[in-house]
Amino acid sequence: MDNFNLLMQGLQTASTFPNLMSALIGAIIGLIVGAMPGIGSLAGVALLMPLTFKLPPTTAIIGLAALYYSNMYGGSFSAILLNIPGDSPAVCTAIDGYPLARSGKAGTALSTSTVSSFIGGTIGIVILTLLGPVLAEAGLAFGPPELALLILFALTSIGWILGEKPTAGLVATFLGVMIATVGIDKAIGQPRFSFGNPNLLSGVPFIPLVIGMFGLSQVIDMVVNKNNYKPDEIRKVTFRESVLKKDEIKRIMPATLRTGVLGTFIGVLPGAGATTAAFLSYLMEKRINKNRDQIGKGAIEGVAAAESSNNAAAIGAFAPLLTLGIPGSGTSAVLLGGLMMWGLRPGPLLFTENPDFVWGLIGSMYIGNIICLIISFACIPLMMKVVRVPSSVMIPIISVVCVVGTYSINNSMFDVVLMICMGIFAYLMSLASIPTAPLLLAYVLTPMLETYTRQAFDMSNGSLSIFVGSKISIVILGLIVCFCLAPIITKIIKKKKPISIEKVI
Amino acid sequence: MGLYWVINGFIYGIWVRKGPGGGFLPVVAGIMAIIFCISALVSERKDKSPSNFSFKAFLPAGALIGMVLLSYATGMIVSMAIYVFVWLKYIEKHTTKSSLSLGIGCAAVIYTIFVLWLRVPMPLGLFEGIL
Repeated sequence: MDNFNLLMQGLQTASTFPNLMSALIGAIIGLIVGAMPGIGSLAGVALLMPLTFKLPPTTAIIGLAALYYSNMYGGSFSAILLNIPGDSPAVCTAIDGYPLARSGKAGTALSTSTVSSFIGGTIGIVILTLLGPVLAEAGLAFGPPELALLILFALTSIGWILGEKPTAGLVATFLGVMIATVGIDKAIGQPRFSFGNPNLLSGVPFIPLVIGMFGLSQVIDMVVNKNNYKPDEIRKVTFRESVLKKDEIKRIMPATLRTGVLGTFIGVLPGAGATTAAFLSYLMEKRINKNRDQIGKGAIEGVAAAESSNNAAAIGAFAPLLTLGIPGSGTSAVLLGGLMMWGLRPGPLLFTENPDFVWGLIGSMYIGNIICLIISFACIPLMMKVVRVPSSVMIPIISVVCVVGTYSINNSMFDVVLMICMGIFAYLMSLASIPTAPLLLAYVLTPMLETYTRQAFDMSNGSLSIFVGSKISIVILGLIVCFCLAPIITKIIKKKKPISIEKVI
Repeated sequence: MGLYWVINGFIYGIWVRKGPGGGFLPVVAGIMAIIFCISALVSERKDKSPSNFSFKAFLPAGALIGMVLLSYATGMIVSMAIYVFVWLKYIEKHTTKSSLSLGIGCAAVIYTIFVLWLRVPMPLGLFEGIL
């Protein structure tokens, strides 16, 4: 009840004109920045922060927070329409969103993404309101061994998105692990597989990899298989037809709700972030959803899972940030810097010493989420026209966007050349029917797996017992064993099942 | 690639100071990649699935490399405009007017968003000294 009263006061604070305008401007900038490949929420927050120096702290952080979570809305636009994820959490959105757009359902995909983002974000905000400090404490219970096992669980789950050729998917997974080992070994400081190139010392950069493998490979496919891209044959769909129907809402709701909760909890884990949340949630739905056979081929459930979880994770990252001063993601680390700059000390005392600030921020999230929903829906009719642009025009434009997006990260031409090489590599993979999603998942998760595994071994002095030292570890280990053995056990059970008499007759 | 990773992984060290060394993951991943690559190759040969390889696939990459090289002379924005114009006019066979307007329009939008708003310092090529 206390929290409810504080929330009402917070909503009042958030509803003042300066705070509303700050949320609106942050939401609009976040949507645009999120839609642009290469410019993620981290760059957006870092760019906007200097402009907020003269604002009161509450107004400033409301604007920056709005930019952060609206970035998740925007990231899905380019993922669905151009197959270029606007930021790393949108990679899973592209897997199902783009095929939907190509089959004339761009509006449905965008509506699904917008609604799921809103619901996921709302779930995250409600959980933050009710359980913020508790969640943060629970997040601290996940030490290096637990996090290492969680990531191993995610990697072993790649089998669920391998599709028809598991061997090809496993090739991609281990290629991803190999690519992730390029760069300086963080523990020893020794360069690995950099081929003497200083540009590779910090590893293969993620955005050129993603833009090349998704965006440029798409361009190459458009050039080689021109007949598959005839926008005139995509039926013109009105906005009204794109609004989700009752049965479509029924289909996405279970996935959206499940992944919203899962995403929030993953967002709370320090270092996990929205990307990990999106991947894990997508994998979960691929395993348990009613329509799991279609996920990965253009199912709205796939879009809903990824979008709901990444928005929820973005909100979840605020729990450890506000209550313990521990950022849950890279962008929240920049926000932490902002908080300290304004003289606010995140921690358990923040809730008691600056309740106006904290509850004003939480209140603004409810309002900001609604603003993002309205603006996103308003943009859908314009976005739908993108799909009908002729491929002859899209090819050079997407290519230019890929180059500029890649260059803008580090102002490096090496990144651009790397992006081009990855595009060709992805095309050759597609010729060999090797999927790219497992490669990307493995690439994202491997550095964290390596770091946490080493920390765990350092803590235990080389003993494996640390991986069964806590209840959380044992549960996760059990899940890994179950999910690895489940396909084998299912096969054995099916073989032993007696043939029914009706079938024989 | 797998073999290279395995060999170098052994050089980096598999187990160092009671924990996985820098070569642990490369060796594991390299060995697994080799095993599964051979398995995939064997099953592909059995299936005798046709290849759809086309040299046209290298056209966009080649054109982009050309654009990158040109940017050292003319700057990124100008080279982008030229790339879009050349692609639309000579490869997609659009009219000169539409190719030119799209090329200039694309460059103008990129300049506005990335240079003016986001302050991304694009290479200016030979104009760097002048500007």
